[in-house]
Amino acid sequence: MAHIRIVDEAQARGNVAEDYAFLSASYSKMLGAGTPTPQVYRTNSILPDYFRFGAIQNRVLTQDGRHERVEEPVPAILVMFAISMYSSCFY
Amino acid sequence: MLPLLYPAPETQDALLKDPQTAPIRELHRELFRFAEKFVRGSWTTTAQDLRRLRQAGLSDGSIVQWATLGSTQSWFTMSADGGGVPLDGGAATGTGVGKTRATYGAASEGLLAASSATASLASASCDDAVAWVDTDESTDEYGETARWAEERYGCMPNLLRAVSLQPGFYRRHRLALELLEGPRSASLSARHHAMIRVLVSHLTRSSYSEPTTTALLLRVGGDQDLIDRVRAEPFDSEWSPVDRVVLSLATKFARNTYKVTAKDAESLREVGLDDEAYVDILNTVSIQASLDRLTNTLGVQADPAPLLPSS
Repeated sequence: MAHIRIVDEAQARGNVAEDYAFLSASYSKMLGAGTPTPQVYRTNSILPDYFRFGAIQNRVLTQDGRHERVEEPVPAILVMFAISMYSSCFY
Repeated sequence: MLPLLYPAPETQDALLKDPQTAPIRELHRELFRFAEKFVRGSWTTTAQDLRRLRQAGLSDGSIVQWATLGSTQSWFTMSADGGGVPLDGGAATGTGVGKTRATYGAASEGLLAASSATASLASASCDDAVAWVDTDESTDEYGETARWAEERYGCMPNLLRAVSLQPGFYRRHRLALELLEGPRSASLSARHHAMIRVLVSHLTRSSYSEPTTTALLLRVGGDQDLIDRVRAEPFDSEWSPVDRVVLSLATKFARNTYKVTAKDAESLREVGLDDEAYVDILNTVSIQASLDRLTNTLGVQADPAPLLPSS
């Protein structure tokens, strides 16, 4: 249960609805199945500017949802895992 | 848990126990050293740390990528823990990292560490006028961002010049800077917003951001005494109840986001603020901290003037 009120897909309008649709499509492409927008983004759904910020970050991380494979000396996901680990991120 | 997205479970367990003894490549071990410092004490980073990464085979483009991804992921972790979101049912993104809450329960206490290393940051040799990494001003994205910055700030910020080897992230950094210019909800005052920025840039020992955050607080009516008081915790009875709650919550977000509970959100409601203010405070902290970690890590030099919109 989140600590605060959120706006879900059914209540979303305008930019928030657009960003919900993009995020769900992006994760669905990555996971190969219909996937709802992950919880981490929903914290910000009551303030559209911050919700957009989450969506923009997904866009830059996934090449606008295309998820093209990029050659890197260390996979980006491992960098993010390491940061999460030292942040004690419960999520 | 999705093993395709994160290391295999047995590797995760070894990493959570001790990355320095886990069965991983040496370059990956360097990554975990980098990540620990990035999160717990980015202000202790020196040019020598980046030289060490280059000696391990990392290019400047990859160093900037690590720092940029670190900045991005910092926002995600704070947003998740600060909002109290539950794990996804299908574990779309949530993973066994949750174990770290117990294993690394004191991780972000790093912000409480003594700041003696700040001196080494300030005195570290600077190979470049902008930062400790190479830059590339030839890309279309750089040109577009430079035009945007010139119009908004009258100059191209060193922060944006320093990350030019990863131009794909410019959209993110530009929006981050815009969002930090003022509150995004009607319920958080410009004064509180600016006080939070001063507080966070102080906690992160950000020599890059402090001129901007203090100038912002002065612009919205603060004075030097208020700046000094924000920097001098604790927030005791000399503060009004709403100031005390806002600053205490911001401190908790910055230092120990994983300790945030529903009671923290309730404390804000008790002084008359709403959930919109909560999200505004959380994002002001997480975006400011994410940029401060980035600039500390790359050794970004101060801009000629505070980074405030000219209007």
